[in-house]
Amino acid sequence: MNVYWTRNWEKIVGFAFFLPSLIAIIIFVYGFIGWSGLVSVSNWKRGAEPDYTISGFDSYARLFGIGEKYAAGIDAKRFKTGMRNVVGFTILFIVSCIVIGFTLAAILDRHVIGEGFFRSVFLFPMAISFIVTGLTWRWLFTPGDSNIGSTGINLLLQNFGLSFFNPNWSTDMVYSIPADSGLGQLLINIGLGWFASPTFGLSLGVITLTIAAAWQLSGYTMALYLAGMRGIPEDLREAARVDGANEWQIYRHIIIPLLKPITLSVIIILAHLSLKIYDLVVAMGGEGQGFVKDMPALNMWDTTFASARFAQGAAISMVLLILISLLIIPYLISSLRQEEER
Amino acid sequence: MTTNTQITRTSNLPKIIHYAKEFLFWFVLIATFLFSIFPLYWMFITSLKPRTDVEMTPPTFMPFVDYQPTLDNYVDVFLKDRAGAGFAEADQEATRKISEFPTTLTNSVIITTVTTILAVLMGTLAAYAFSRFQIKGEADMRFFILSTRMLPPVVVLIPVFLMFNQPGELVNNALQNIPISFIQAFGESIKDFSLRNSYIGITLLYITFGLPFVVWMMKGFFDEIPKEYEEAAMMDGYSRLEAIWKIVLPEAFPAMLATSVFVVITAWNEFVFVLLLNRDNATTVPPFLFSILGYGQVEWGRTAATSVLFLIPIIVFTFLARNHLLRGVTFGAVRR
Repeated sequence: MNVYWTRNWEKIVGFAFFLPSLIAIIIFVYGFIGWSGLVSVSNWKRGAEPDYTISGFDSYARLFGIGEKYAAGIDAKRFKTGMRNVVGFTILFIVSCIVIGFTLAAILDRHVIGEGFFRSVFLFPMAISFIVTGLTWRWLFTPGDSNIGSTGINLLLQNFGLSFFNPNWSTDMVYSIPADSGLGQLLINIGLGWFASPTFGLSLGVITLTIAAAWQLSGYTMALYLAGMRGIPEDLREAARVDGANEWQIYRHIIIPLLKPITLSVIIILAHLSLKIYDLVVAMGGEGQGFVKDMPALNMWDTTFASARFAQGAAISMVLLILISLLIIPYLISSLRQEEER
Repeated sequence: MTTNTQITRTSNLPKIIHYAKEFLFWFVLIATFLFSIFPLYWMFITSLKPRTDVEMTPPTFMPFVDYQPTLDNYVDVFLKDRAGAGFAEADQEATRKISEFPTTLTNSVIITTVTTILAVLMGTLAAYAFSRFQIKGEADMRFFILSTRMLPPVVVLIPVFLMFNQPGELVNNALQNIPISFIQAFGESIKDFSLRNSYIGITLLYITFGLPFVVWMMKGFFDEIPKEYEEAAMMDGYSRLEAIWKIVLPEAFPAMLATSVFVVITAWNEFVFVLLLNRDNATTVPPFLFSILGYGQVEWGRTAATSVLFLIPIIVFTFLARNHLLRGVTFGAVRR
């Protein structure tokens, strides 16, 4: 068997091995993204009958409320609310996961008794469906009424003597900086009035979503940090201790900087989960009154499959795609480059 | 060494601070433990409550102490909606039909199993090729494969919906342009083929979305196995395929297991695509669970019991794979 032939054979085998995966991904992912893009600029306004005549960026204009015709439209209003919610949710969710996850990892890294047990318990929620998580937390956040009294979390708050705080978690209004308060006036005076408007607010519904999502994924964050901490040689801490650093300084100046790549991974993984969140919101009761819990993915589903407005729905999904791409493409490129350098 | 310094350090501290620190540690740990465990505990005890106790205020927490556990809710899971108001009567129970739960659970098991096996096998082979053979434009290809890992499902929802509705018709339309009679006849014959409400369609979709992850994980693994390993086997007269089958795959098996953890979890819990595509047939448990919620008043007892039954397989699986769980979920994000 000559060498030339063997090389070719290897090439064919190699190609045959990854061809199925490649074809599947090209069709189902890239082909379909293109298809979605085409629908979003098409004239397919309403109904189940496809219409692929190109009609321009009308659906995007409607979404962003561009132009007189669309500025006050319901599409623009719902999309804006959804974007506000998803951004607030993403930030709160990532911050709480990182804080809880890092703290737990730091504690478990000290080899507490029963470390394996605690690790499994904290990690387990990530194996649970968002539907089950959503249902459970939805129940815990059911506020009760005047007949049966407070229930769930509200009862817990009441038992701690916080009965003045008795919100209706799923319908209550949006909390934002009041425009007539000192801070609100200051913001308006320096030209940042937008921050003092309800557009910048956060609804209690979004906070309940955050709690449920953080419950599910802070254990996962912990696992990532724990794996990272295990990779840090003990000598480094030792050396710092010899130099007189206390535990806090060791974390501040050695551990946290070394775990930066992991923090980046955590942010990317959690952010792409939260930007596309759908199941959890649906299980926790949907978008709610006045879209207090609305998310772009929900908006897309309702627009496309409930109202049969395909072009409009496709436009929402394309905006969501661009949003996520802005986040992950730089990350992927940098991590692939790093890998090549090694 | 470590213990020595630690002892000197802690003994320098006043004892009270040491205890306070220790207390704080355990306090945080136990508080988070309760936070993690309570929702699951609550679901579980609710599923065992008699129907009258489920929505009692103040709630009861201890089975056998506060109430006598029953399996009523579990009976409810397997039966369709109640016929009338007097649901506690036994004769009504006898007239109720079997619910979709057993079917959906079977579907979940079938779809998850097939998805996992195929995705892990295909992905492993692709990863092996990536790791061992020189492929033109490999870096670009890897970027394309990896970028799909984080694709939001809503982006491909419309095309998936359209294509799965009538893939036969789409293919037929294309084939009718070819002026060869048997190709046109073939097009006619597959015209009514649909991927909706079928195992094939949803499994194909799950495999596609599971693949990038498998390739990513397994490539990292193959890069660590030295090339010489199977080259030695090939020296001994094995062909490349034999070397893969007899040497590489057995070696890769633990890594494949670790990879499958994530694929199983994702396929088992997937909701959006099943809800859209398999509403009538080949439905899995998550949409079923969602459908029993109904509108307005939620039957929490039944919902809790369904959730528990839905969780049991995944609990068993994560328990069996516990040694691979940590590696499986952190690999790919934590690169050494």
